[in-house]
Amino acid sequence: MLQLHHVDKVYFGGTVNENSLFRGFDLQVEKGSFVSIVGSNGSGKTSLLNLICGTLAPDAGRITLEGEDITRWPEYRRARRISRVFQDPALGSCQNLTVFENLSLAARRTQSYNLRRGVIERDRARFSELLASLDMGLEQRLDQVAGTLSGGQRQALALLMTTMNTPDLLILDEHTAALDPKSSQRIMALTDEIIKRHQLTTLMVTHNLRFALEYGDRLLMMHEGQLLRDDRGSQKEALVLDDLLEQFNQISIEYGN
Amino acid sequence: MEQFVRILIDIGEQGLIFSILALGLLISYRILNTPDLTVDGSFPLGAAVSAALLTRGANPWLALGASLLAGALAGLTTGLLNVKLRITALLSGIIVMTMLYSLNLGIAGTANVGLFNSRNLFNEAPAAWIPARLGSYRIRTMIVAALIVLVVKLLLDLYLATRSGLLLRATGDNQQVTVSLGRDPGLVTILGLTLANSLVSLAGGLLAQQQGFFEISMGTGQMVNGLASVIIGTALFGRIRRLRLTTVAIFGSLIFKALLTIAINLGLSANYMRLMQGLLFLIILVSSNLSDKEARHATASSR
Repeated sequence: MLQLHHVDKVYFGGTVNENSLFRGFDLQVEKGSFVSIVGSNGSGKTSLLNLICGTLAPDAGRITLEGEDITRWPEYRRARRISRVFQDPALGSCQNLTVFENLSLAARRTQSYNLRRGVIERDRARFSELLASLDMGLEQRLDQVAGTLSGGQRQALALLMTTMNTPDLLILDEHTAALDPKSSQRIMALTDEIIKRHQLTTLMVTHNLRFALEYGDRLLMMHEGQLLRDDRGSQKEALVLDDLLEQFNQISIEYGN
Repeated sequence: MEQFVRILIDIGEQGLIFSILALGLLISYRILNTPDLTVDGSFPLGAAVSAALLTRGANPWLALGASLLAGALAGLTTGLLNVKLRITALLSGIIVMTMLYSLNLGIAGTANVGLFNSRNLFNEAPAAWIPARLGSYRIRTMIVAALIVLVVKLLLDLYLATRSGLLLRATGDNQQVTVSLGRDPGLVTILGLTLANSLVSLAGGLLAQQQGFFEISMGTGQMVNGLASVIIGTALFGRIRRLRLTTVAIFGSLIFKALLTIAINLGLSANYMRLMQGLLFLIILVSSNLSDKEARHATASSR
């Protein structure tokens, strides 16, 4: 379970441009739930992810994961338990390393990067199988460098790398936004499959309202650092796109986005 | 013919020793993607440490090991400045290089130290083990240098294939991946700079033993030297997938040394050596940038 207790975050504190984004922000995400977050630009959804992942430090408040206080943990330390897939597919893997090498690195995440062999031929069959399950033709590209993959393939690889060690929390940061519509659909379906298979606790920020409605069991709409909507279970299932779109447009127009 | 053989030996002897320097820059520049100027200080540091120990009659292997450790400390310092104090890599290198100048003088005692009467790797074991009928003193020097380079290269190959080596390559490629793997990219960078400067300093120590003297300004231009080697190697052999990066760097170093030796033998004054190095480096850099662009163009249009 992930908990944010009374989190404050102020940008440009103490200057005329002071902009307080979060004031006493609370959020609780139960283990195994899949939460979609929507909101206009500047609503704080990416900042929220950054606070959770440790890219941003809160000014006050506490963040706990499975009861453990991680507020002061640096980003890399949290990454052992929190995995993140970025909007930019290039951020998820090393372009000059082969797919095999990238997967080998990811497979050792919970072990240590010591002087044992980095790439073991024995893993080939297992990785091939994992890649084949993505159905993106990646299993034939094990020995190619990741830089030669298409955006969709690279994002699928990133997804596999981040989930192969079953993280406590999966963060999806607009991870289909940079892809063409078809790849975007494919990656979203794949993501859902992986989340269900490993029963991953997931936070997904998306600009795609349809995805937010269709996937996950809880939907948050954010605006100026606050939760405008928080629909779960049957309440969420009853939501229809038009209502959501209307509310979304309203806040967007009001604030000139 | 005799002159030709002499040129070849010149290239072989020193080109091989400088290829260890190139292996160091392979790590900092090519793998870790960090411009590390410590090199101009850590190279003579290795020479100074070897010189100081050899003049006191130390075992040449021990001297070489001490050179390596001293270089590791220099690299560690640059890494700490860069990562912990958040000074840019370029400035961290310059700071350490500047401080090393004094330190090198202090270690060696004076700006020039002759080692002609001291024991070294090329006038006793292991060079003495090579039967004299195999060739002159200089041929034997070349064989010893080649063996040491080979050992260093193989060890580096082994390291780069480990989990730690793979993480080093990943960090140079994409720091976000290192973070995602739950590791501190700063620590990996420090480790890489330490390793790189150990090799650079080892090369310096070996050169002092081979040429028989330490000289305070022997570090000037060594970063350019090593970089040029790595870039020539990559430009000429980088596309051959079966060749390891380390092999490519060694070939680059030999070719760069050959170009310089030929220039000198064509009558270029040794005073213009650094100018020549810089110009050659410039030409190599520009032409490899151009061929990179062409390659990118070719792949972009083939999509």
